[in-house]
Amino acid sequence: MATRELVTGGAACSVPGSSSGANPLGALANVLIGSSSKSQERLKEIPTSTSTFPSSQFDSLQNEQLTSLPGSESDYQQSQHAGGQGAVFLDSFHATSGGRLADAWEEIQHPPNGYYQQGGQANFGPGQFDNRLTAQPQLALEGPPQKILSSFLHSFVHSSGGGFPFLPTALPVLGLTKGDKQCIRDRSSIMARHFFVDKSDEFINAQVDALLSSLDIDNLQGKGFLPGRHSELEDYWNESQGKFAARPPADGWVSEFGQYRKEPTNPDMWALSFEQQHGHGSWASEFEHEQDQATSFNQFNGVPISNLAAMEQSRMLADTLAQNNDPKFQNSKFLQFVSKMSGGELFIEDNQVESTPVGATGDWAAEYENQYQNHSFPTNHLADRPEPWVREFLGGKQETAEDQWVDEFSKLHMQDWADEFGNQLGSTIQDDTSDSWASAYDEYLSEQTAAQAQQRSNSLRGVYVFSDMNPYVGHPDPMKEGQELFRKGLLSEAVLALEAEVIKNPDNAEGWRLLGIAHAENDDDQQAIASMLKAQEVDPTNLEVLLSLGVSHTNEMEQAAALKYLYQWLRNHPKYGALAPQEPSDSLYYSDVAQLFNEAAQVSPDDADVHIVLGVLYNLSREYDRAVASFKTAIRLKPNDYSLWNKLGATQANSVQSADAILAYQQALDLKPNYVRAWANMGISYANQGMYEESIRYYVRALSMNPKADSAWQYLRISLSCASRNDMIDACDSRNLDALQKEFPL
Amino acid sequence: MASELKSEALLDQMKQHLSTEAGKQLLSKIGLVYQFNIAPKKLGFDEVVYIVDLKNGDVKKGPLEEGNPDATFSFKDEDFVKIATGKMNPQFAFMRGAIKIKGSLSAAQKFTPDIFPKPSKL
Repeated sequence: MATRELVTGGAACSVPGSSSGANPLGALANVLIGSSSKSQERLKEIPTSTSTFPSSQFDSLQNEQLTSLPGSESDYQQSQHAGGQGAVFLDSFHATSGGRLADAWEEIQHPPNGYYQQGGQANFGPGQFDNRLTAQPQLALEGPPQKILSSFLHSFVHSSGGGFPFLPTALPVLGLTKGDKQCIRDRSSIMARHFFVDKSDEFINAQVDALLSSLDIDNLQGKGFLPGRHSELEDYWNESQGKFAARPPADGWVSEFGQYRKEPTNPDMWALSFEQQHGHGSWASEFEHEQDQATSFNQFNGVPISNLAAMEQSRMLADTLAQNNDPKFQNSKFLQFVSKMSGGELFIEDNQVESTPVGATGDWAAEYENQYQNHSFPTNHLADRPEPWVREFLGGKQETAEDQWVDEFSKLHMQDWADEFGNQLGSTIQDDTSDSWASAYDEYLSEQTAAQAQQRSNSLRGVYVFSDMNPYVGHPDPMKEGQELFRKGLLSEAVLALEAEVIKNPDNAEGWRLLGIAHAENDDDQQAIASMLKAQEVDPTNLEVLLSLGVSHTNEMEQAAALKYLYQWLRNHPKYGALAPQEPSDSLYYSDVAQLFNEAAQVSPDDADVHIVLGVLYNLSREYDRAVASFKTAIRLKPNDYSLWNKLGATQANSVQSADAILAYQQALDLKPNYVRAWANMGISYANQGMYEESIRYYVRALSMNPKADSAWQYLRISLSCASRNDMIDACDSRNLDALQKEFPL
Repeated sequence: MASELKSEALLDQMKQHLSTEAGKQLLSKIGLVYQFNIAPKKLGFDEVVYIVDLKNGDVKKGPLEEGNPDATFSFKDEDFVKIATGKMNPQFAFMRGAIKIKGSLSAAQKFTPDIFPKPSKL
């Protein structure tokens, strides 16, 4: 068997599946692959690959899987092609590779039916094996290593696609390097997660381990772990992390490795240990968990010494990204991207993403080998790796690129630390390299969170974002329905109905206004602003709209805008308009406006509205005592206005009278039990007093009424970590309301 | 008033917070002095300096008269708000270059969203 090094690991590194545009990883994949549409075409081309398997539930399994893939683009869901994921994975592989490997894949794909190809060395029962053999041509295991590996991976993919348990097989030695193995390991577990999203973790782990054991890859604890790559950097970290008592990297890894080494071919054992060590839930949090093992988990000080600092940064990234709102995002390819970055498998150079040429740099390998002698590192492979193939696949730039990647990361990190620590790393700080990385990253990030970010910025600019799949569109009288729902306190439903209304009648000012109010009460100021701006367009003098805009902008700390709207309230008021000068000056001075309002209050002291506006104004200027007084007056005049109680409470909370605030919120909630904003504010008040456990309950309650309340999710997360409930952080990140509600009832 | 930074609102709230029970706990938990240079639009330009003294429990505008802060951060106004409200992870922000940090690394690491009291919504 040829002992040529196989960089199929690199091939496997290409992104499994993507759709163009909507996610940055898709974009990334497109960059790598160069043809977004091709994958899609191929996806549709490949027919179902179920026929060859004896199992009859295969079909349904596959379809089930595809529809249940979270975060997958709708393309996937629509194309009910079994093995779709696998097909795209292979396609991308195919598209990227230049030479022989492409041919190898071509062979594999014709006939395009899924199959399970093994040479004579497979240790299946003969009956089973024959079925498969007769169904399709085999790929000889004596072929070039990459062919074997590719067919093996392919069959894993298809077996994954089929939900069929993957049996470990004894493959001939493929000469995979450590890096390859890592790559394959990581990729396969990621892919397995996607394929088996609706299966148990056990199943996933079993599959992955089967794959890995066949390839003789040790399922090491440390994902993306490339120790010893940059020893200076490690020293630096060790030095600075004096107080973080973790094992020195080499020892830790070695001992872990030794532990695993003892049972190299026992997939069950690994499945168990893998499962023990890795939490359930989102991949990203799993990723985090691994790092947690090494040090205590604290947002800012999570620096596992056992990892390269640069990888750590990417891990933090993954961490952060995992905190992102959209559940789709969490399961997205982008996190994989980040994982790959941190795993050292991908790096960005000149705003292009390149795969790490696995096992490329000689000196790295040598260093690595020196440190870990008990690992049989096939150094001889370095000498005669299939360079032309590798270059074809990766598009050149290997040795230097790898160093450059490390440098970029080290520079990025060193940017500020280097100064203060007078570190001998002393690499010249080049803002451009880190900027290019950061900007490339930003690109992807912003694309990925397009749905969210765009929505947010659109809302701020007054562009309303409609919900998808609105059941009320087509309703005969959505306005009435919306009003009814609002009255009943079903805010989210009311929003939908009202959206249907304004789609039908965009000039319905009242519709927009009520929509805005519903959003505000649902604790979504962004959408509230967008709705209210529309309402204002249709009806520029509507006082309630203006007040609402003033309030929302105050909440968003947009002081100038808030002032403007409150001033306009005054100007447009039939009674007090005369008090305000005809043309407002460009820069409204707060004090002038306040004075005007005070005059108005004198004109009619029993006008609750004036007091309300005054209260909001005083909030802007942080004259909280006066604000409280104003609101109390207003409440006296309008005792059953729940929003007034909330405003009073919020004012008190912001002036650190949290206990009083809670009483006020309680009043508001008595009047309106589904008042999401008040629930969230309650949570805030508890949290600000350091009563984190209570705050969690309130946040959860608010979120159960409006799962789209993003700020509440952030706050919940903070409270969870302050209350040391890191076990539930996963649930929070994955927005698993059920688990949270069960754990934290009110 | 119109040109006020959003961050100022948060820092004022922090100031008040420090006189409460919960705030006092921060002092024993952290006990460091931070300096924040907050720029309205672009990092490094027109910065307003605030000192958040979590040793004595005070927030002041303007640089320290004597002594040095344990860590100094430079932010954009918006980014500071995002971090204080937990919308952005400080490590992530640092990686993006959205924050510049000087001073003690361990001191800087203690700066997390949970030390800030959250604003309530009217």
